[in-house]
Amino acid sequence: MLKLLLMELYTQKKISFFIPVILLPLFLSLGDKISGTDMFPTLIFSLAVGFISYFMTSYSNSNTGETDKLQYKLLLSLPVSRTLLISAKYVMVCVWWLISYAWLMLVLLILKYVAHVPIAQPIFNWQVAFFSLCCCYFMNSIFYPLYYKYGFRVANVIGILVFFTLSNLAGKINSLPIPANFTALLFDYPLAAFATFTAVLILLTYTTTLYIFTKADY
Amino acid sequence: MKDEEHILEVNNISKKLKGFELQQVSFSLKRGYIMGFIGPNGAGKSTTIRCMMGLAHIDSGQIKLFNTDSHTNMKALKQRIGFVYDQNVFFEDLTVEKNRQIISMFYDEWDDKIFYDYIHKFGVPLSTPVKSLSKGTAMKFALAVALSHNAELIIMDEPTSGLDPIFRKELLDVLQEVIQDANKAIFFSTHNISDLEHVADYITFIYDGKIQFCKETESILDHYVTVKGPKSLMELVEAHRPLAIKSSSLGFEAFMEKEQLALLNTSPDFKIERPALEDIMYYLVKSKNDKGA
Repeated sequence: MLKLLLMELYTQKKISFFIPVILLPLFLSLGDKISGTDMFPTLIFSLAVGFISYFMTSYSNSNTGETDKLQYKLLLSLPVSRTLLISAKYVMVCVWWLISYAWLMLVLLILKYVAHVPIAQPIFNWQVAFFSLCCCYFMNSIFYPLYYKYGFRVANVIGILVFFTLSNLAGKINSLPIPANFTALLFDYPLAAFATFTAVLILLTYTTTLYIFTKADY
Repeated sequence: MKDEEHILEVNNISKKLKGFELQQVSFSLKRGYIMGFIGPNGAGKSTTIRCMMGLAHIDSGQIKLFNTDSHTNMKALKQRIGFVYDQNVFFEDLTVEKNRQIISMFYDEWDDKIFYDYIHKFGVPLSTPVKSLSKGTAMKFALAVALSHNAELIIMDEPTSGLDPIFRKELLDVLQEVIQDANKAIFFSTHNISDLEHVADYITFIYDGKIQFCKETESILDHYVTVKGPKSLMELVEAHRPLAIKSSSLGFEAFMEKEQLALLNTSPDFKIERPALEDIMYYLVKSKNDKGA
């Protein structure tokens, strides 16, 4: 597993490691203009980190067509099982998230202590960390089965659509009155609810991706 | 010598693809030998190799590597297999050295010394991205990788296609060096049949997804003859049902089994020759096509 993770790091296009530097200030400046409940800035930061780490993950799989087939021809000829390859892809999501989140903290530190920009958010916010990890897994869980079934282009377009739908949904949910029925629990514990939903989605899509990849011929 | 005599056994494998089918493909390869896998383009060579490497799933049959069902533990079996494909499958944006770093991680018995020896011998530049290598140099790199982890079975899919004759000769020399170790075996698919005549101990011929024969090279070369003669004698030869015959305004050339030759009253006007492997494949394909037409 460790070898596959290292391979992913080695083969990642160098530019993608610096994508957060370009995108984070954009998201951070947007965050200042958005108002809402207490949870809302957390949501925005989480979506920003989630999207950036999703971008890094999808970029590491951005080979298309014949190049993609050749890459798997190599990987499957090496002493590596198909199950391990897919498992490594899912574990790697966590690594890309960690890099994105580290960048977020670094950018916040620079803004706060070097540029003296007033930042309301604490540098390390466990809610942002956890929620962004969930966002990243949520998007990648949708990306991977589509990627292995239909290729990078289809999966990437749908992945980005999911991100914008998720952002919209976050805004909608934020403006809804808190219901009185049992769904109120979701509003009381949004992180737990989203994490549970993401965990179920990961399990489902991991199984589906594994099935697709195991059955595929290269 | 390891316990298992057969390093590779392919037993009745079938695989259906769009517009093509591998049908009951069977052959086996012993340690210490080179097997040439020949056939025209689209005959099923690459599909068979993909099945052997676990890249494609077989519909039925069995593939045994090192006397173990390939389904049982393909991951461990691949430690013992070196592969060379006709296309550049490596990380093309990365340098040769970076590719080595990545690939070597996966092999328990990777030997950097062997790798660098081959790299220097073949003149492969370590700091060049793989995508900038010429086809010949990329093939040399692939060969260095295949030979650097003490693989017992080397599987090569069209390694000589598109290469110049000098490198093709060099490659065959390397293969002959490798096979000096009686513990190893080489499975080598090609349609450049002339490459094989001097190095392959066994030839497996596949056509239209079916194995036509799997025999010792010498016995194949001894099994067939070509008979050339003036047109006036063509009918005489045709009466003995040659596998294929072609005529021109000057004469004819018939391809037949040696046994048939014994039945033919050989005229001094006949010119009887031992065909090259390339001619054998050509005539066998031609005879199949003629029968099918």
